Amino acid sequence: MVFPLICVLIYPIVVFALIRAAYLVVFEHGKGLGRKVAPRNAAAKTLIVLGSGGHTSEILRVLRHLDRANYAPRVYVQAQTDRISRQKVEEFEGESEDYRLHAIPRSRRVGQSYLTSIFTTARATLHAFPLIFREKPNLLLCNGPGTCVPLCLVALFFNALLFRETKIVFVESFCRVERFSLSGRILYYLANHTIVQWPKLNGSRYPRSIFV
Amino acid sequence: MQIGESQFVPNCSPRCGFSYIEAFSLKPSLRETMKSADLIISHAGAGSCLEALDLKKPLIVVTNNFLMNDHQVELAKQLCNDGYLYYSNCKNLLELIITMKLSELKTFPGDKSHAIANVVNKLMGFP
Repeated sequence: MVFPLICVLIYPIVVFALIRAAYLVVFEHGKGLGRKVAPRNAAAKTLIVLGSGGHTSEILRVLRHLDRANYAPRVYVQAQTDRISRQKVEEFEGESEDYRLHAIPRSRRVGQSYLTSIFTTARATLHAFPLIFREKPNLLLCNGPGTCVPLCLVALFFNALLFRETKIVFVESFCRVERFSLSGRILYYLANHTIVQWPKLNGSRYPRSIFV
Repeated sequence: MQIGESQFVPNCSPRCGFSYIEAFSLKPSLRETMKSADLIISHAGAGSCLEALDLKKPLIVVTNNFLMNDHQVELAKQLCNDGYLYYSNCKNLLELIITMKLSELKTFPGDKSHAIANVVNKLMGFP
């Protein structure tokens, strides 16, 4: 008796979230710098997705130019298999205390096939739900390790369902000159804003991206 | 030599004019090691490339042809065309080292982290 009842209750909620998420993706995301943003007085809680390989170094390079008092507290998320990102973050943060670090299962190994990626990504998504729900970040900043796709997906889901405003900002990696990464092709739509570093990822073909 | 998590154990006995050869798996930062180098040979990872170019060190990027849809080549090619570094595959590395003219490399103007941070500030409503 209880199980069908739960199903009946959850069904309209999920459908509502999906419809509103689709609305956000089509009509709200990717508006670039054209839209006026209200000045923010309080600090923005920031969730930063780290990744193995160069992703962590690259995102920390951006953070170095941001005022840490504005982006606080900072919640870092890394893949469980990643041993080097924690050290990099600790070195970067130094004495500051307004940050913490979480680990979630890796969604895709370098070179892993697309088919099995779907299952590992689903597992990572299950871990992302409680994390995003509890942390309620104002900003989700990522630059495209596989781990960031489930986190962005879940952040979008809560944005749609609970009318939260987690701003998802995706920075495509500097090494993507001509084509978006797999994460990039997905996050181009899921993220509120996509920042690219090379002109071929902007222009008439990719009007949603912001070229710096 | 940073050899990452590979199982390959390189031969570190001094040879070919090198008096000292050392191999290590991973370091949180290669910056100090890079600072002491006169020439850096690196994979095409953006992090390593930027770090070497930041330090204004001559850089040869060797691309890995075995990665799934190899995007690393894109960056190496672009930066090579712009004249900031040399790039090669494993096969042609030796020939490149013999023929290259490091003095012809241009100084890299710096990456776009600052511009990205400015955009993020604007998007979040910070001055």
